[in-house]
Amino acid sequence: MDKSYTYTLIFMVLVSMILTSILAVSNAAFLPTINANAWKAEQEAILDAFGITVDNPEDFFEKNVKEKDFGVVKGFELTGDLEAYALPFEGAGLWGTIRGYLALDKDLDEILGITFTDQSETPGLGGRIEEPQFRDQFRQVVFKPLKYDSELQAITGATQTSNSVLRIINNFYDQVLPKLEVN
Amino acid sequence: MADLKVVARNQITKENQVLRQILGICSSLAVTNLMMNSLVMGLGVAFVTGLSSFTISLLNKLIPQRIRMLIQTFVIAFYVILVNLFLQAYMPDISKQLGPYVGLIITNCIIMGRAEAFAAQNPPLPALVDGFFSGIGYLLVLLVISFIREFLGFGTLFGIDLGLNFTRWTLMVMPPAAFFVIAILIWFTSARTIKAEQKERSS
Repeated sequence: MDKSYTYTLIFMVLVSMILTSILAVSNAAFLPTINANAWKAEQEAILDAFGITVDNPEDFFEKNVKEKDFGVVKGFELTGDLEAYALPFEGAGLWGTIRGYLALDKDLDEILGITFTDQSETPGLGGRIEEPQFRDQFRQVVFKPLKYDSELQAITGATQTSNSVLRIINNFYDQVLPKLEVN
Repeated sequence: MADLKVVARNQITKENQVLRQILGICSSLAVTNLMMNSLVMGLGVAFVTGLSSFTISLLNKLIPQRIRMLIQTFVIAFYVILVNLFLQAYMPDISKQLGPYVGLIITNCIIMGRAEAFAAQNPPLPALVDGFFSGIGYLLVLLVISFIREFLGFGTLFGIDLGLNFTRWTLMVMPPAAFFVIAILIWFTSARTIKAEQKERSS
């Protein structure tokens, strides 16, 4: 048995109204938690770039880190015992955009660390740029155009991703660094 | 009315959606390099399949035939969005790893298949059981695949290092390995089913 067009129309409108209003309510209910999660992950990534591990990252962040406008990019400033900057970068990886933070010292001539907040490289291969073994190679190195050698090693089986990371950092060095307004 | 126990058991064994019906292969390939991801994905699918089958069965008499599929997709999408929101709020790390695949549960053929093949002709309770257990069948297959892949590829299970010292089989964590593992599993179960059927016939 088929129903009339009017019935079909009314049914569709009703179902849409009910389902979408439930979704709208739950979206509104979950949104604060989701945003808080995202912000927390961001804070941890930034502290990690500075090489800081603390028990309560949120409190520490609240007290010691503040946003700073560098003109070309908006980054973060670490105050207190250690003074440093965290600058966001992004560029093309093998599969998608790689985003993250580069921590530099006050004079912008030393890399303190690097973190990746967003990447879609091959899990287990390029995805390993997120692992400490790879990232720790960028702790306390002089900021100049980088290349892979015995000191700085690419990830085996992930040549494209490894090269992309260096290209992104070197692009940052060439194009963003000279334009930064520190004061 | 179909026996609920039989419905549930069939969904896990005889009519397993992945191994017997070859549905839901896409996500079985995509999320099975870590057991934790497979578990969360499988539970998500079981939840969505169960509840969407239940809802569709409940509305069955009210749904006009010509927009039947539209309503089914709508209901499925509704539950998937809820799952996605939940994961983003309470399991942000896993949500990030699963990425687009949670949203893609909507296109998982198992769910639409159950809605159309079972829920549309059966009362709400059997539909719920059928849907939920088809998801559980999917979950179990995913866990088997990811067990093999994570163990050989990372040397870990559920992210816990087993402390075994062997060269990691890198291919296992890459997408092609899923094809091999899933094909071998399907081969194995098909061979067994054929044998069992022959036995039944000869006796």
